Amino acid sequence: MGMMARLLRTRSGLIGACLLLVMALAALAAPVLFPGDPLAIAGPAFLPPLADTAFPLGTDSLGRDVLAGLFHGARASLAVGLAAALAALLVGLVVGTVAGFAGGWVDEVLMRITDAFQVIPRFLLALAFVSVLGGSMTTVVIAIALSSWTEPARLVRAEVLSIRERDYAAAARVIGMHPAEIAFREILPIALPPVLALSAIIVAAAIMIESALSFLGFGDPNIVTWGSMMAEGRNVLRSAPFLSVVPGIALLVTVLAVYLVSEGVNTALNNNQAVPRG
Amino acid sequence: MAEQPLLRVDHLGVRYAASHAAALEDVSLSLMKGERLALIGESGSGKSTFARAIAHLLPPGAARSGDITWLALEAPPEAGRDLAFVLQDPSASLDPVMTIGEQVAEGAVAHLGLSWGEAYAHAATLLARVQLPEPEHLLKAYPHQLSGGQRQRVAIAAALAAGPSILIADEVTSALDRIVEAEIVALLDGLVRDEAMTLIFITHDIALAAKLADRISVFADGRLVEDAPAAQLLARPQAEATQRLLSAHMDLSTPSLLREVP
Amino acid sequence: MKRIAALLRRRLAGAVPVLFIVIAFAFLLLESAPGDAVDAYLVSVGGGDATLAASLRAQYGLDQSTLSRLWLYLAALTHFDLGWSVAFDRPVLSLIGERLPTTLVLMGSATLLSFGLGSFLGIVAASHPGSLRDRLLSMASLTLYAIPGFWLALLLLIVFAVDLRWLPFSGFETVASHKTGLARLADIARHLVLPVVTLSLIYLALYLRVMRAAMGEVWRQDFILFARARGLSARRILWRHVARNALLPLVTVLGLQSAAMLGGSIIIESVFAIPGFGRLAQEAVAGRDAPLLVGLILVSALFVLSINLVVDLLYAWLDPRVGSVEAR
Repeated sequence: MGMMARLLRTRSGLIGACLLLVMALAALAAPVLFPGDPLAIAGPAFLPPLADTAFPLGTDSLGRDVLAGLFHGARASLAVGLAAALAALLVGLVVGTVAGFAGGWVDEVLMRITDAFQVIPRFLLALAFVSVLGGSMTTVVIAIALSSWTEPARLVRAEVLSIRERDYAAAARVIGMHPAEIAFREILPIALPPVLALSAIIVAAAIMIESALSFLGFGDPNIVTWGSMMAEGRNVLRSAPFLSVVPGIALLVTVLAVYLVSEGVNTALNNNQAVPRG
Repeated sequence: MAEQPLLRVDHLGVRYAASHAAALEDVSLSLMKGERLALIGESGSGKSTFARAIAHLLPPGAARSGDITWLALEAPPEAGRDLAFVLQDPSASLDPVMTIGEQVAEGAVAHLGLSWGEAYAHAATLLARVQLPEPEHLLKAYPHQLSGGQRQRVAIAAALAAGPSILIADEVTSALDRIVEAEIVALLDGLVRDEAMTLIFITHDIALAAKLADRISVFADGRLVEDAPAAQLLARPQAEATQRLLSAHMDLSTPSLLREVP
Repeated sequence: MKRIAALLRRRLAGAVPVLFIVIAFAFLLLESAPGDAVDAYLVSVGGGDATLAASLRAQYGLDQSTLSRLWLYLAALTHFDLGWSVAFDRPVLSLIGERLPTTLVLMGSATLLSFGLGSFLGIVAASHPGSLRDRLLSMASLTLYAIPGFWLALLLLIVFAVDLRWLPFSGFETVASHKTGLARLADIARHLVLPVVTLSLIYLALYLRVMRAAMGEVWRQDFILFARARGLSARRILWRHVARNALLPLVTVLGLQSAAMLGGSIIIESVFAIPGFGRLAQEAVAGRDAPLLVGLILVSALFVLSINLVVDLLYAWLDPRVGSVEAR
């Protein structure tokens, strides 16, 4: 809780958290404010923004409500972003902890696999998974997670290595705790804060990858996402540019909010340590 | 020695931006030209802060109060040209990706108006002056290729590149082992004598201070607690901090592991 | 130069297992994709019956166990045979070879621009930490960092191609313009302005932020204090000491970014309809062309490994400590 308070005391942390809260509320309120299918035709096509009070942000080429799409898109973006980041972190935590704690050939093999995943462009990897698994919400999440776990794995491994030889780990060994128990009970909690600072970056990246996948038409076709809205807007870029601009702003604000929070976390962590030397 | 005053410090106080306590409080001190003054004290006593304050090397955000007056000079001494400052850890005080030659020469270029070619020749002379072997060869070497003692010699050469008349040596031997320490102290002793420099030598080792300095100023908790000629201070220590430092020296007369910890 | 040679040997040895894991992964991907090379071939020749398929499979060893198929796959790779593209009905390698240069031009220009401008602005920002200039640059770079690449591409298209009509809307060059020589080069350059600017802007922010942070780290080092104590000019301290040392982490990022930029080219090339490597990846997925996709993965891994090797050498050249015996 102390961390949260410190985070909110930094300016970027506060702004970011507020923006994210707005986005989360929008996502939660979407089915209440805009009941019904956002993919359904709601009015005349190509209604520009601010022209009709019923459709404040206008309608797209098929007459679908842009504002409704935006709200429902927030659901998809946040859900996919969070789920994928969570899964990536989990994989990264396990791989990093095992590699760092086991050492030897286990470490060697796991790190070469991590290397292999890092030399393949992340977006290409996600595309490959989606093409094999097919485009649905779950597979998009899996694809993003499988292409994003390497950074947390490396970070966790480095943390574990630096903590491993410290006193309490040795003490835990002496009192006969099982290595795995030491790893997950004693070492992981201490290695976690820097990983949390990284996790915001992973959430942002996951949101970006999801929107890019949908933009290219490889997302879940049954769900409105900001990426798919922009993809449709792109086809009418000359006549109705707002259709691709508006969802992009929502995406930009969300990702920016996540970055601001991550910057706030970093500042809070640094403030906690910064003691000038005399 | 000509008793010409060089520096007067009145009621000097320093406060670092992020801390509540003053790092230095109400310190008044004077220094004669050609004098060798040792500042001693435990870590955090304010001795380094004092040295940095008079060299204008306090970190940004540090607040300074009181007066620093340079008397024998027309203007306050210019960093590098009139006043040299050597730091504690020679592994950290040299740029790791710049050749030794360039680091020694750059001070000469900046202050003596030499061309780079002349400055490199000057650098080779300086490296020989601090008793480093094969100075011509060293010019192209990088700091990581040298030992700790050699690096400190390079740092001294770089600091003296423009021929300054005042040398501040801030714990220059505390990152080195005893034998190298003795060599560096002997080097400084000779350089200061030959060039007739004024020396401010900062250390926590009272024996070292006594060996090198005419006068010793003892700092404790950001204050100047005792200021006396070296012999007098050793014979009749007045302040409690001085007595503590003296007894600490007794304990440390055999090299201790504690010295390894920065 | 001995330390560089040793480094090169070590890195090459390290790259081999990584490459094998990528190949194994690529093979798994191929195996899990529906259909195989024979299906692809039969489609390309307009169909065939089951006996023909079976005999072809026997001929190419596709009816054997997974392990021996992996062996066959490896054997094919040693002959630079990346398989047959289903969607394009051509060898994968020649297809990639045709598309890669375009992307290399795109990535090379974007890297130069983003690295150069980004690090320069990072130095500008870090030269007066906390100043208005620094805060503005930081805020701008964070926003730029958060901008989705394809959205930025669309925005630039709306402004410069649709509204102002200064630059072409899409493509690598004007179709059927029959331009040659310098005129053709100028035409290509005009087409590449928007894609290069888009890619650069996305990655510029990262270089700016890394450079600024690295400069902040270096400012706190003792050797900067020592440089100030020696009365060196502010400009020399900034450029020769601080920026020079801060360049090292930036070069590392350069290597890491090569993979990201290759991924980013997929989407940028799709938006601008540039027939390059990235567009090919999109077409491979859209056409369910597993051999092509797997070939792209292999080539990109090889590409990224080579870039990292080059970056390692660059780093070693910039940092004399690398590979030295008495490294601390």
